Amino acid sequence: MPVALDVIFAGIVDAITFWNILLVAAGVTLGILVGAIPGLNGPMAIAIAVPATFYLEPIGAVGFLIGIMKGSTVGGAVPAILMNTPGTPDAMITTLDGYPLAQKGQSGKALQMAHLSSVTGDTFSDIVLFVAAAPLSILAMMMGPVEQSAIIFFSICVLAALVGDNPLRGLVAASFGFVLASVGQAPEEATPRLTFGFPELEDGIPLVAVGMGVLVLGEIARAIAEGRVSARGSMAPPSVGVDARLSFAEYMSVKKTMFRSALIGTLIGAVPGIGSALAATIGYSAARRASKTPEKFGKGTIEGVAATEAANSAVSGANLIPLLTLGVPGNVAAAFLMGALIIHGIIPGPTLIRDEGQLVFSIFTCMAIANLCNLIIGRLGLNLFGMVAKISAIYIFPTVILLCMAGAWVSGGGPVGLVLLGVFGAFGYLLRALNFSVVIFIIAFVLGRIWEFPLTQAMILTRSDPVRLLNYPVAVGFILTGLSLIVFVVIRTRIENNKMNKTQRAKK
Amino acid sequence: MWGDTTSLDGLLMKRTSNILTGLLAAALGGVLIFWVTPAQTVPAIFATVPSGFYPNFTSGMLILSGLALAISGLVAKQDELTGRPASHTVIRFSVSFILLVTAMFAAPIVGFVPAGVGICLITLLLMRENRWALIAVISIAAPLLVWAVFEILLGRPLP
Repeated sequence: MPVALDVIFAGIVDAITFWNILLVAAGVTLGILVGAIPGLNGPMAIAIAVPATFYLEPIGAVGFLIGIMKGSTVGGAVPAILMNTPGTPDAMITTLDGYPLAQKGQSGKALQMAHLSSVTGDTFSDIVLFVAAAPLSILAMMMGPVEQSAIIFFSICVLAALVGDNPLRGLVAASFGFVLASVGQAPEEATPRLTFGFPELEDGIPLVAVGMGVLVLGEIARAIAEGRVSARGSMAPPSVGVDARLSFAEYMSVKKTMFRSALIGTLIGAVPGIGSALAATIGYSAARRASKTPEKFGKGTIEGVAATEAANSAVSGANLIPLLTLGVPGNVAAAFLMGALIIHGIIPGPTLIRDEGQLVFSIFTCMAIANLCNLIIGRLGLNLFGMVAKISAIYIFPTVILLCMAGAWVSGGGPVGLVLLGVFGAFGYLLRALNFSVVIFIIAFVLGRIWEFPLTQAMILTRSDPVRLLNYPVAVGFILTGLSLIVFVVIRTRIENNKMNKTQRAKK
Repeated sequence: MWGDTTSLDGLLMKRTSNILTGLLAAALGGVLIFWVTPAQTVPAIFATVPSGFYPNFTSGMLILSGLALAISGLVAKQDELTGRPASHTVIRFSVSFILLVTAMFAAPIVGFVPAGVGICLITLLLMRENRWALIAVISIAAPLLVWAVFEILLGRPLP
């Protein structure tokens, strides 16, 4: 499936319009602002922004969401460095060296290092995505519906095994997501299913209500219930003179660290479910091991900031590899991107590059534009974003709740949409409170909408006889590997828990 | 002695929690397969695969994963109760939940801005904000701002 050059150029030209560039820049700015505000994060902003994209052309809509996704990773570092409070979970490790640097009066240097390494890591992973997407799609297209169904099952097993502390709880959360995704119409004859007489549900439960309810309202409800709305560190002193600027020599001195971390982030990002927080941790550890001065780590070194930010930002581009080649979203942000594409009538999957090659290359171009915007807007606005980080949650939370309500209403849900928003807000809180992963739930909800089609075809091909599955060794391999992974993690967790209990008893 | 935790899961020992939530999930799956899906699915006449196949398949997954979770709890050793949620957490959550859903119901009837004022007021009080002037300003400004953005800027009518 060679992608014709004219398709690539047409895709690039489609993306480079004033309106699209403006939307991507707006997305990046919004993403950095949201990332800079502790308590909010990129996926939450994307969930709130999805209704606004209904009225946009697909390229502009996806470009706007990609801008938010990329901007939020840069923004998360701002309060981590200035206030010792990560704006997003993946910036947690950034506090280790970022805040000590800021305390030494080098906040400007630390912010610039975080910003530049973030853009570098992001750009690296995007290049890998651009190069790898088409060849991987060729491989993916060799698979039929049985294998596609098996891959979706495998992806959920990987997510369950790697996200959260109990894979079986992950599977239960995924099953909830799949069940809710089956609400709507049966695909063959469009007969209503599980709609309880509400015509509003015949197109399925709106992604906006589920996403904003579970991800945004659920998180706000938890923050309010737990009273953690004002946990901020104190602001670091401003930097002046040479400490306020990062020199080119300093940037080049950590190029190996940035490359290593970007590679780690890209590899981790390509696997569904492993978040950028883990990439940041591994990137930081690898940099410390490889460093000639490991004793400086944790006390304020730009190398530590570069290692963390390059790794966590490299995840965002790589997360789109499974989405664009297999139709499997790698994280919540990718799941919302997938939802937005589906709303615009575009189904991500192995045939996407073949059928919508021009659009895919427009998306790639938007990603490149977003990186450029990240570089420019981040550079110009770092001080402003530092001030934003100080905005109290008392201004943010009520406004965000109202934005969710308005979004649920205008996205076509009407009164039912509002009620669903409230119900899923409570459901999101309960999922968190009972230690079920909201990430797996949302990804399963989005995946569930596309899983039915290959699964139904697979049932027809195998005549609903599990023995006939043996004619599809690749599918059997994926199913068994997924199940084995779950069993392995369950056993390992149990052994670790037993060891921990023994240690605790011994201490008593 | 229990330490304070904010997770509701802390009400139960991990083992008991796994058993209960697993059984509840499996029971829900059973209810879906045997009662809800048959009653709420219009059968397709010419379809090669029945309309209820996918809900039943996913409900089956819910039963299997729920049972697996419950069994993993049953075979696990009794663990220590490490914490329980403070009573104010449960009360705050219950109040937040009831108010959120009430406000969602009320908005189409009383209008977005009045419902929004109520939501802001209650949210700020739940956040233990006690500066009344600030509460008043935010409660009025935030709904008006969001209303103006959607109604005037984007041209999308709100209730």
